[in-house]
Amino acid sequence: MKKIIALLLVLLMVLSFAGCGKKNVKLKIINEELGAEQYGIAFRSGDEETCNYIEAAVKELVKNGEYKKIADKYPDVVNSLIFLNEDAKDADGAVDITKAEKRTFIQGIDPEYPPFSYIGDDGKYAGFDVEICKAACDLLGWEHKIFEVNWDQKLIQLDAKECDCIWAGMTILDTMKEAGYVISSPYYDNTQVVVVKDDSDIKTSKDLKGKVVAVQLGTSGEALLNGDLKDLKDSFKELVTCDSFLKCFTELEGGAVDAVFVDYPVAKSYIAGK
Amino acid sequence: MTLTTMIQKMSEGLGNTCSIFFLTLLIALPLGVVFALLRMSKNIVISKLTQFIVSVLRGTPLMLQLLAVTYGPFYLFGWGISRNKLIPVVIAFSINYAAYFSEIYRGGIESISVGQYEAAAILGYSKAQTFVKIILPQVIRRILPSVTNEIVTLVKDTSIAFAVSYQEMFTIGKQIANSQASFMPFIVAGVFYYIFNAAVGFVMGRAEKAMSYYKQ
Repeated sequence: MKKIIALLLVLLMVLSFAGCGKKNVKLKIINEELGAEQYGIAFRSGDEETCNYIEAAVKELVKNGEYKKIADKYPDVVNSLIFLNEDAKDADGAVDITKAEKRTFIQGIDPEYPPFSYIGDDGKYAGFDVEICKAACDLLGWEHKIFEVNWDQKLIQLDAKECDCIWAGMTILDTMKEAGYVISSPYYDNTQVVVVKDDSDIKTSKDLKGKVVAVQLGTSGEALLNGDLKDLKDSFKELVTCDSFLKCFTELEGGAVDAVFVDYPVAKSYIAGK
Repeated sequence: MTLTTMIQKMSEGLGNTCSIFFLTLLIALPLGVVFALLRMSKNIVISKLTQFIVSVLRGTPLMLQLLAVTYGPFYLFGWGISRNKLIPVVIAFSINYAAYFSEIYRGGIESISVGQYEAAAILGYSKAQTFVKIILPQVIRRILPSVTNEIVTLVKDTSIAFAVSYQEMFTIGKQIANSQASFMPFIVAGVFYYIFNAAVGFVMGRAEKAMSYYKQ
């Protein structure tokens, strides 16, 4: 009996935790682009074949209009897609997608990365990257599966063959290429932005001097702050790394940090979803 | 990044790891005594209530408790999240470890045979004197190995603080692992934890030796 009560209480605690709506804190994006970068798909080193098939299939999707149809569902994504802004060049390349052998293709995603990959309201995986990958696999006759990676260990998990690619709004970094991973051609132009509370007096990145800033561990924003934007980072009071961007926003809303450094489409879709 | 810079960067986080470790020990060891005494209280309400609290603390993951202490007040009441993450981290760790320690203490106290109490009574010791001079030294000696076990676990559990974005050593290791696409920081972290625990083992070993003034 006691155990049942204990269990119920724990359940109550968990439910109240999850179910309770947090206070509605308004956020805004600072109108300043802090570094341009591109999204791509990562494959294991030596796996050029898979990469070629996927690229060919995606090009085919662009050609038959499917790509545009999916993109239109994601208004935060559509404007910066690279394939939509240029013609599908050399679509009749060396790779014949009809010759692809049957296989299971496991897409590694970050399940907390809307609008690229997330768990939809119906509990199923959704997002631009998930839909494109699924459509590409359908073309190739491959079975599409999804594996949730731990974003800060995604490349290790890729090496361990837990998934066949990392395809979830992943920024192409030079370190990945140097480490030998096969990276697809970029498909999305991304920028990093700073998100603050609506009533914050931070207007530009210069105002971040002496402030506490949060960034998701393993994202390109973090890489940027440790690389090209190191001077900016050094002006912060502290850089806090979180294990998901949702936690970054929670910290911001709860007042534990002053600003969040995040990819533009993610910020836009989060603020729109509130 | 060279190995030296890697180690140097991770050592910076080691200070935060140590803060969690020592503050938690400082609070949890005495708090465990309070829990144990409340648990053994003759008042059945207090005893059962403490038993229930301890069972919840031991029956739910530390990470969940950590998230509840850090973000719970914000989600439930809209209170701000602490800027100094060390506070919620140490609160959550201390309460959790006090629950474990309390059960170790209780086991130790209850393992002392009734003959010890009887002999002390015959020799004219008061209740308080019996506990402090006769029972407690034997209890401490008996529970030391179990306490060492918990302390060793505590060293490794400090890495859980990453869940609430506290920048301890393992978090920094992960940051480096990411930016360098390398596995090396995890190995360095492993060595750090091992050395830390070797030190804990050495200190506790000396303590056990000091307490073994007679064989039973």
